Amino acid sequence: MEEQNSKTRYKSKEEKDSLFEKEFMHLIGPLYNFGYRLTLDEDDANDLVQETFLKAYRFFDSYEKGTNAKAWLFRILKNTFINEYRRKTKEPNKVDYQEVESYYNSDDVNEPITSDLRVDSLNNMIGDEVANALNALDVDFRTIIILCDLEGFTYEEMAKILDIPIGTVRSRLHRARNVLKEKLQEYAQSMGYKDQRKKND
Amino acid sequence: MIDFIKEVVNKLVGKKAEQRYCCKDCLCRLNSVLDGEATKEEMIYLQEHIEHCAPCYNHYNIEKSVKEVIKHKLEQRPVPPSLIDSIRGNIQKNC
Repeated sequence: MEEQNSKTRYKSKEEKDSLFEKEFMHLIGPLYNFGYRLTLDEDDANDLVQETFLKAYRFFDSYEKGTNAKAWLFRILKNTFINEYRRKTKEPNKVDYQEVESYYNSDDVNEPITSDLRVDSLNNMIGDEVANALNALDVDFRTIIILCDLEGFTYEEMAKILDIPIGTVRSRLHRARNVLKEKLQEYAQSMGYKDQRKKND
Repeated sequence: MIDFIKEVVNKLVGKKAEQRYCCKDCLCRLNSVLDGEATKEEMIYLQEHIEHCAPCYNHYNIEKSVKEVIKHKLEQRPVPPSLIDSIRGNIQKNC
């Protein structure tokens, strides 16, 4: 009784492992980096990625071959992170994002935030400074910036990965980018002070 | 006199409100355009808008640069080989 659908089919463990390898193993890099940026700890990132692949293997039957493997894995990792690691980290009283976001989803969109951030300051920043600014963000904001700008997921893909409506993806991105700009500006300013001190020495 | 003042204020507020509305429209589209999620109409709207609106033009460039900085400046950590081995090991152990 052969079922004709796109669900993963294999006749042996060997075949399953080979299929799994083909579909997922090349994604370890992005997943590991995502895990690291979430946990900011190498050991936790290792555990998180191992856990993710283990779950992916166990639920391989529910994965539709040829569909968005990366999004599927990212979703598993994100959920694993929430369940296993978020509890461990010190979290301030959790903000009710749904409430905040429905406010921002209304027509009351902020005007462009005038800032002193300049394109050349941005271009002069080094990777570490950018990473620090990103890591200074709350994990939900950091996540969405990573998913959108670093990994290039579409709004629809992000909505599925994060289990939120597309409208919330948009508003959260908007908010996250505003905070990120603030952080980048802080770093750019401190860079400027350092340069000034060097000149004065 | 009061009417005159009211008229002036209304004109100023109206103008600012108009600009605010116009820039609000631009702002809503900005992220969509940068993220490749905008419709053709939205892209055209933004393109035409930033041609004559300096604040929005600046804003667009900053947002674009922030996105590029995240995409290109963040270093990708190499995956520890032991992690790859562990994952393969786990797969072999599991059914």
